[in-house]
Amino acid sequence: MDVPPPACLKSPPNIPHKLLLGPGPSNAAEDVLQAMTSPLLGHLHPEFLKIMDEVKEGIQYVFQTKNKLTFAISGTGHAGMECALVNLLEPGDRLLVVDIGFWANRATDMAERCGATVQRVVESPGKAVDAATLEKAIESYRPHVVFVVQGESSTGVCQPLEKFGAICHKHGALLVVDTVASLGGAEFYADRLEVDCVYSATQKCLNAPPSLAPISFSERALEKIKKRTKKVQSYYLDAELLGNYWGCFDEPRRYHHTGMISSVYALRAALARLAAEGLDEAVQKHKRNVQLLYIGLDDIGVSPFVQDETLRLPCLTTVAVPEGIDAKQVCDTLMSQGIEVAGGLGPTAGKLWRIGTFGMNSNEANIKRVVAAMKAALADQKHHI
Amino acid sequence: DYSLQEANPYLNVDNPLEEGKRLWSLGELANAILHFEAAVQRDPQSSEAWRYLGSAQAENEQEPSAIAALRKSLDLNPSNMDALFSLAVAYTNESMDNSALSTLERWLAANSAYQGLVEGADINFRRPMTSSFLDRQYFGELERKFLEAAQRQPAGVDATLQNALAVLYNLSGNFDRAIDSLQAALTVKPEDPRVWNRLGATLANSDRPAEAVAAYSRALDLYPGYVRARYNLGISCMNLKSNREAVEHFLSALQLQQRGIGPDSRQQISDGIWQTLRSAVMRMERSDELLRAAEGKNVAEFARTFHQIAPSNMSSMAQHDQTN
Repeated sequence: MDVPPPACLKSPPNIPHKLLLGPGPSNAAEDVLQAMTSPLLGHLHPEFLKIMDEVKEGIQYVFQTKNKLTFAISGTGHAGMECALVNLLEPGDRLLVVDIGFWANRATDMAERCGATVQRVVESPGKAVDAATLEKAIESYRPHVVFVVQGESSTGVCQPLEKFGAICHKHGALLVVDTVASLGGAEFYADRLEVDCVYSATQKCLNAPPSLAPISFSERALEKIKKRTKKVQSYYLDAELLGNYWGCFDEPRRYHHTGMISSVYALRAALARLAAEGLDEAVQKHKRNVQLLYIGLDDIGVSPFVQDETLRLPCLTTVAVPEGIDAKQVCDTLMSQGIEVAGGLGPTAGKLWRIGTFGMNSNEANIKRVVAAMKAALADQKHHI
Repeated sequence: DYSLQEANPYLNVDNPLEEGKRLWSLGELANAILHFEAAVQRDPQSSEAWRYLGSAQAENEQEPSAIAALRKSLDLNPSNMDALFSLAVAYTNESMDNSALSTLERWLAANSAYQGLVEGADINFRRPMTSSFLDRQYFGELERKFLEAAQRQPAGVDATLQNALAVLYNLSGNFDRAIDSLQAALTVKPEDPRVWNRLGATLANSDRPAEAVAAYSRALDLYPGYVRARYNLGISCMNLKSNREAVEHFLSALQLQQRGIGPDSRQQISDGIWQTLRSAVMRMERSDELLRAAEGKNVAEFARTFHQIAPSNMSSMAQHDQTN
């Protein structure tokens, strides 16, 4: 053998159990994991295609849309962002990015690779962009596409979206919304908001393993795609080809790629859970439980980073690091107790902690546990006068 | 409520309060505390005895007990200035910021050297404490009164006023001003280990770890049995990633707490110190066995395991004379 069999694969992997209260992935639900152990089917077998159709309906429910071009990308949240941008942008197009944290950088990077030019309308970490400011930016830049993140996980802000769709359409632009960190935890009605493309991921409020990116395109968005002068440069993420595989159009399905069989089973189980709970109830649950977290944090002398309570994301809470405290030491202490809590990201690195309470992880027991652990970890650093 | 030791060998000695004070002045903290406990059982209505007990327990790094005793002292004599000061310090350490502010206000009101600064109606239950976060407006009002008091200092520096100012500024995070006040206090009381510890903690909380260590070391030179300063020094070691040394200091602190009552009694042992010791152990290598020993909360057992697993290589920080 030129390359011998790896010795490290002779023993089982070390996979400790942890409570994942960071920005994602969150813990996976038992029945969702169970679903993945069902026997594989072929990616074009009728039984599997039926499961894909059921998943599509589930995605329409969770996005609150009647869009026909609705499916799940074989890839995680980033694949969703890439798919949205690569289909809707052509070289020379203008993209306006609402920049309220880290994710604007990713979108900008991807858009530039599509040959688009990018401008940003910016607010500082902890704040959101308002509709009037957005409209001014659109009027001056005349973008083809506007990109906004609803659940800005780097700052803990839930960006309000009212009027954004209408404003975009008034000015002939399409609206793309990232709901990776907010879907199932914050209110979102794609059609009511006139959203042209929304995408999310499986590993936050859906409590499924990271695997697929649910996505949906409006009629307007599909029209722009059809009018493209050049092919979408990514075969793998071509929305029309994927739409065909997912049976979104009245035409026979063709082989595009090998679908992620077990992940689709998992997504079906996750969507079934959410449908049974009810989307409204799920959102209310997150809001109720996060109040307990705010009270707990106040008791231990720390406060949420986002001062305006109406702007806070109910499934991811950012906490300001008090002066003199070593933020990483707190994270390390919690990790040694099997609890993941994250530090900041990008513009907020070192300035805050991020506590994710996604889906089934949003409950009183977890909140009490993480607050108690943080209290002890903070006390460990306090010098007594 | 204060929970007294069951097996106190000094319950029937003559004049336990005076004997306790004497032992305390010699730095024999654990035995002093036992005497103060005897004193409050002998005379439960003595605000002074409860105050000594509370202040000593604070130095012994037993803050909840300190708070309970100090509150009792104040129930009996609401103007006991020493009790008010010690309680304000305890509230500050426990992040009960607004309680600390109102206690400092009461201290100023009770201080005969600075009369008339606090109106009678101001004190006691002045505002609902809905949050532990410092009420900035209240702080501002109190700071003004304290600064006026400082202007009126009778002759040169009033060390107790400067200490109170330092506590006030620790609450608001104005560490530089707190440090100035403590350095002023040190000009009149250069050998007061409590001021050195307070200075160390203020320096540490304002991210000046090396200077903090120097201040704690000075406090321990003057008062080797000072459990609180030794605990703080352990935290400094953790901040500086010297986890093994941190554990050594926490262990010394626990051993100090145990003196005078025998190795098997667990009553005077501080849960707080065990918890922080455990955090330090978790960051060491080969920590599983040590962690189990730490969870057992038996000082002698832990010491045995620790010296087996992590034999001493004394660095300058650990060289502070550890009374054994």
